[in-house]
Amino acid sequence: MNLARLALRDLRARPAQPLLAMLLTALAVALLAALLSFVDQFDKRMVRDAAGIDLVVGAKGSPLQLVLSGVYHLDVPPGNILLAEAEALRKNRLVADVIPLALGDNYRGHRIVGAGHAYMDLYGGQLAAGRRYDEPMEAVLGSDAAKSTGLGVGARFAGTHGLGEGGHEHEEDTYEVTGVLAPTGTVLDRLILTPVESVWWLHAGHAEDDAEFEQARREVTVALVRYASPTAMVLLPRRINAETSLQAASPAFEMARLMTLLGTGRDALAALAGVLLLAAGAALVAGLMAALSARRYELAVMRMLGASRGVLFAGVLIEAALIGLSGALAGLLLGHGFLAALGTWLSVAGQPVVLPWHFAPLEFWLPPLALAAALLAGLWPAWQAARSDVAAVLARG
Amino acid sequence: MTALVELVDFVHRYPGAAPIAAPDFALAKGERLMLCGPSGCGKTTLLLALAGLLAPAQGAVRIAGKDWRTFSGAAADRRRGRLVGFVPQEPHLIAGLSIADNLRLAMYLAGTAQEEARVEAALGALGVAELAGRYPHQLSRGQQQRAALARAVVNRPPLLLADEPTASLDDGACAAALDLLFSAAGSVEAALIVATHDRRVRDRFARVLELGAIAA
Repeated sequence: MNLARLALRDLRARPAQPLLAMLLTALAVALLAALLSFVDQFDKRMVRDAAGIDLVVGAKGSPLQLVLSGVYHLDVPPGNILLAEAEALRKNRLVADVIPLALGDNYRGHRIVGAGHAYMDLYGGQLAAGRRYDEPMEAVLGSDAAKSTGLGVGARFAGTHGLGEGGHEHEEDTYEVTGVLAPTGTVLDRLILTPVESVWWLHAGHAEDDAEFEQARREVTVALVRYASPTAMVLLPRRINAETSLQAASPAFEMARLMTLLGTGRDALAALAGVLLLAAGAALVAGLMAALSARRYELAVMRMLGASRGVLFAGVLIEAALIGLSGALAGLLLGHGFLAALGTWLSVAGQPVVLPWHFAPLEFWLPPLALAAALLAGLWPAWQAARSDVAAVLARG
Repeated sequence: MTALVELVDFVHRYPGAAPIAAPDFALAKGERLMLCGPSGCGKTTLLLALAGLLAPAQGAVRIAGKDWRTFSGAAADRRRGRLVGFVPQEPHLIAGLSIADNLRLAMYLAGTAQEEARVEAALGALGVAELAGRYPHQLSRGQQQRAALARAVVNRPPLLLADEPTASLDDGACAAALDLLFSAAGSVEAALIVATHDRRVRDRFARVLELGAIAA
């Protein structure tokens, strides 16, 4: 027999109100856990996917849209640009490297990206099977793309027009899978890569005359640029935006801007979690006070049996701690269960996969936070238990 | 014989009420004393003072030769757990704990070793050994009273205090409850002090202390 066992007995004897407090704690912790894990994964993915890309150059339009489409493959690009314009950037002394990308099709939600081998190298893509592509209409699949489509080396597939599911199929022109990449933890995992010429070839097929064919051949969607020196960070975007028909957008700047915008929503969710935690505290106080009222004679008998005021105080605090900790653990499970459901849903849609069991460093503070909140809420009932008037209770019988 | 319990010049005052006084008395191990008087005369107050839960405004309450005043806080609580067994008017067993766990709780709170042999002996002495694993709500009132008595004596206290143990019992049940109380006290050779306004039990005690409020 010990105080923890006694506290458990008390909780089991009157489960309704402790369960309510536990549930509210769990909801608050679940919200915070899901939020922290998601934001942490989002931040890390954003950093990984944009590593080695200093500037995205594409058609005029929204710079955020350009970055989201060209780096993260999350949005539709604002338009195409001439390959010649993209290649001209190589001659600029401020530029170290240029990787042109051509977008246009997808296969079961996975974008088919026309790019040179340099794009694979940018993310450290290593082959898990097969070989890299050499010819148009050959394709290498990212690890997630291969897993979700079930395609392997030697398989053939027809791309669908457009960047999302639902477009018409290029039934007459099929790709051949020549390789599958090992997981990189980057955007590469969910893409299907092919030479730029494949995209030109497919879309040239729709052209009605040679002029349109030539036009299509010479277009790409974006050019990913790496600076040659820190000076380029100041000069290059300004020059491109002011002196050419292209648009230059910095992934770091645009994502910081996006995070500022999302920050409001994130803060609102965190505030909601705070309100839930306050409600949990109030339910805890109400539950423990109601239990004390029902147990006043028990407490008096325990005092007669030798329990000190400190023991009664500690007993109530242990009950509060058990509620807080069990709520926190249930909340972590609930929060990550939600992420698991979200991850399944998003991966089905071909969007970035959310890892359900990724724990953000800040999440490890959630159980101590819930415990501290529960102990704080338990202080008043514990004090009341410790100060209970044994004489008055016993006199009443 | 050395006195186990000594009451000297006992007076206690509650705000706005007449003082409560009790005659001096001393009680040796194994002796029995009845505290009687009408409701409000201070029987429960005196029991609480004897248990060290209430410090009198005046006088001294000594158990085993030491005034409760010389102990404070947790030390007094531990001493009470080891020296005093308490039998409330209602059994008030802790719901949700088995009968054996109720006894283990008393041992835990008193800071004594939780020896299973003591639990079995206490329950056996009161004839409820077979109920050790049952829960209070599964017991009849009579069984609950026996279990509460077993809890009071499981720490083998030298002093057993009982508060109105025969209230609202018919004559037969009253005699049986008292027999049980004497048996419990006898099983650990404890001094027994019974606070009651029940005049039917007066003949069962060799020593009776009449309580009554005195003028300020």
